[in-house]
Amino acid sequence: MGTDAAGLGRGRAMAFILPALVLIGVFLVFPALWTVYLGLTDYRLTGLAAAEPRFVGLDNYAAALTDARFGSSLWLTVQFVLGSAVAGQAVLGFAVAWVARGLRTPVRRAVEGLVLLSWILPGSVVAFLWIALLDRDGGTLNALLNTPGTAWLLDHPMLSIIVFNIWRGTAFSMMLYSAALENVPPSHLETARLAGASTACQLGDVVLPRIKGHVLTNLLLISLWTFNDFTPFLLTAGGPEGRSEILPVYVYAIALNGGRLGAGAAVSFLILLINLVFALIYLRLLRARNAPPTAAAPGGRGPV
Amino acid sequence: MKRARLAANTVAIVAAVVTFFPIYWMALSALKPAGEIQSLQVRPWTLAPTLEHFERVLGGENFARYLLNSLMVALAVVALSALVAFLAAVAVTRFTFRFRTTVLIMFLVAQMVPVEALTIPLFFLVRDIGTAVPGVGLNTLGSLVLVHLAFSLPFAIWMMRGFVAAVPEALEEAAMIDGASRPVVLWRILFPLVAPGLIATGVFSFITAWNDFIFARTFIISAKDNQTLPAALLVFFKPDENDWGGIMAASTLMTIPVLIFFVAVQRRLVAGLGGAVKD
Repeated sequence: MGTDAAGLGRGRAMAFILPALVLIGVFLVFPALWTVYLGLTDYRLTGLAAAEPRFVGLDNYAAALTDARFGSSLWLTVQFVLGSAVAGQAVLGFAVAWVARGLRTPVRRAVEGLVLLSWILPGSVVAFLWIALLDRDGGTLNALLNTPGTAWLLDHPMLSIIVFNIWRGTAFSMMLYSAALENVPPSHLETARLAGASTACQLGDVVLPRIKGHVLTNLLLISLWTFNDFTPFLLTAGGPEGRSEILPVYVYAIALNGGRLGAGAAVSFLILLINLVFALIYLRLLRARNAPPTAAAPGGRGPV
Repeated sequence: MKRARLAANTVAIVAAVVTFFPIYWMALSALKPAGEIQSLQVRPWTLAPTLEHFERVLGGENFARYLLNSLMVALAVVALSALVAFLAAVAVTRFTFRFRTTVLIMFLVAQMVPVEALTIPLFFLVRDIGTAVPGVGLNTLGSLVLVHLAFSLPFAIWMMRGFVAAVPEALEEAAMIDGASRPVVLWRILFPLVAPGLIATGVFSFITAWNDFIFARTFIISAKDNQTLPAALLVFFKPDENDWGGIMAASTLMTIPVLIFFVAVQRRLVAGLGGAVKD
């Protein structure tokens, strides 16, 4: 990459990036810094501390880190991310993409289209659908399984939101992986098959090395999205008794329901820090992948 | 081989049916007559389909207006985000400047900020901006466009970077040698080549803007005419008994524009995602 290959000129390059920087700066970075500041105060939604918030230093952080509820929230979030994003969406998404490529084009388009539907529907809409599905009395699932009176959302809250999130998010992984699989030359797979490689060998030796970048990007994005996902709140509201209170729901509970905006902001910042660790690991892995200078994949589709 | 193929077909079809089921249920409930929706006998079909719920939804409470508002916000976000992200992506891939890496890392980090955490500062921010610049303050659709635009940018730029980098610089140089001016190179050469990427990012911006509930609830407080669709759904929730027919009909109506937008670009989307990740 040259310093100025397109002949942009420093001024023009700045002008190009300026609108994006201003918008992100004003509407993302500035409010985020504001949140950091709020996290250091005892700011509240109502009462005396709403008018004159006091600076309390790291008290909110200390309180959060020693709060058993924060600990259990974090653990539930880890389960949620590992269960629904990493084990659920990523694996299932790959399986569907892998299977779909062997299908005839119209069947394949139909399958992909149907899976994508669950992803593009508004969160509020799908939450209603799932509540109707899992409802104790009139719920469709109970009618289908012939288990009347089973309160899925109360008896198995984490399982419910994990399955819900797998259902909702698999489409993204599927799309990304089907795009990635297009870059694996069929001739390589054919060669491996003729050489007698099992499906597992084909996947591990031929496919995986080629789509490693996609796998990493996918895992990063879906982990972050799942980590910050608030939609489960619409299903279980964190309950019963906090048994499905993942971190975003916990923030909502203390900041807006409890009115402790300062404490909520502190926890939000902790979430951001955890996200940052994810991103750093990802960048490290990506760099490790790029370290040996490999030639651009020949025979790929689209922009290489 | 034949059995493997049969198994593959079965897996794919089962997956499709399972994912499709709740959506089928939504459309079905929207068509069922009022008495049948909550009856204890759950039937996956109806013998007496009715459009009464749709008529009620479309007839009452400004629904058409909300639909139009949602459409305007989402389309404005898609168009502006494509433009701004394209320019920014060109700048970060085609030009090395100080802090370039810092800026890129900032884009990535900005994408991880939990939206809920920013709602309160954003409320005050939008309120204050509104007093200085009319049209983007509280209760305006402009505020929604601006905030969604900002939230869509990090992902869009991150995606577009891969696409712009994938276009050989020699192509642009050749066009310049042939006498094309820089704007022409940008719009006639580079822009069409990265179009698949713009479509992929456009789908994301459209979906987030269309589905947004939090910002619409926070910024649009009193101007009922500027409310968007997700809020319109709330009308059908009642303390004593929810109007499930209305909810399902409104949800179905809310899904249709996304579906149209999506079907129109689906084919390009997959190609777009594939290109974005490659370095």
